[in-house]
Amino acid sequence: MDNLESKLKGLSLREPSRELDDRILGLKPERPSRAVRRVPLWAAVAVSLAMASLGFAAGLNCRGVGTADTPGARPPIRIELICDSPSGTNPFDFTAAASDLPAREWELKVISVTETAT
Amino acid sequence: MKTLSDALERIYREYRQQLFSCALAVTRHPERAEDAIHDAFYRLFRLKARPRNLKVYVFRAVRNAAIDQIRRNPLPPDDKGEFIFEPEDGPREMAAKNEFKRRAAEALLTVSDDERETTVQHLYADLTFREIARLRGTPPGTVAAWYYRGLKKLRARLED
Repeated sequence: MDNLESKLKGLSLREPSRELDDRILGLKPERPSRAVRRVPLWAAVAVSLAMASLGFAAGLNCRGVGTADTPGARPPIRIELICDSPSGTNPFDFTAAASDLPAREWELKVISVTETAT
Repeated sequence: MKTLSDALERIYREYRQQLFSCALAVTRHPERAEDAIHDAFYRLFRLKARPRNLKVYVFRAVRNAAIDQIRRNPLPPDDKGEFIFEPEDGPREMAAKNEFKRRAAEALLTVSDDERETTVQHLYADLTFREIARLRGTPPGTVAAWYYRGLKKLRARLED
């Protein structure tokens, strides 16, 4: 640094106002920047998929397939078919499609006016 | 672990005088220089990723904001504006020093924009030629040429 540079550098500089400090520091967000704490997208997706798979497997294991011998299993669906009914009707409607019936054990009971068979 | 906001606050506290001088070298008005620093930090505090060289990035952001200030409100042709030095030193200061300061301010306003800005960045903001080159997007050799050419013109005006 030569003589002129030293003389120029020795001159007192105009200073910014005190209000500038308040203006700048007031801009600082309270919470930490997301740039530092952000979780990578691939990690978030991987954890979400793993948790979803675990939850699905646990749900399958817990549901199981119930039977009449298993405590707490649901009872079979009973259908009563009345032959020679005086009114000509049955409690179960055979005229409609039954595609939406639940997949459970079924029990058919045929009731006749004269005799009963199970 | 330091957050980006903490790092920006540290840079502001450490370089507030230098940032102000650099902005003032572009805007030539203290209020506009402060507005430029404010605009720059408004954007800086919203950065989503940390730049590689944060100090140079901050100086570049302030310079760009100062240029935006001038583009939005150009200086009147006859307005030379104010410059980076304190207008008046205390009574204990020698009159000769005040006279030299006045002449230096006038001389700095006569050199080209690149020469003046580079002189302030190197001499008063203590930025190296390499740092100035990075923030201006020019080769270091060009920055050095601006500086020494400006210094030569200042010498011719101040040492005659």
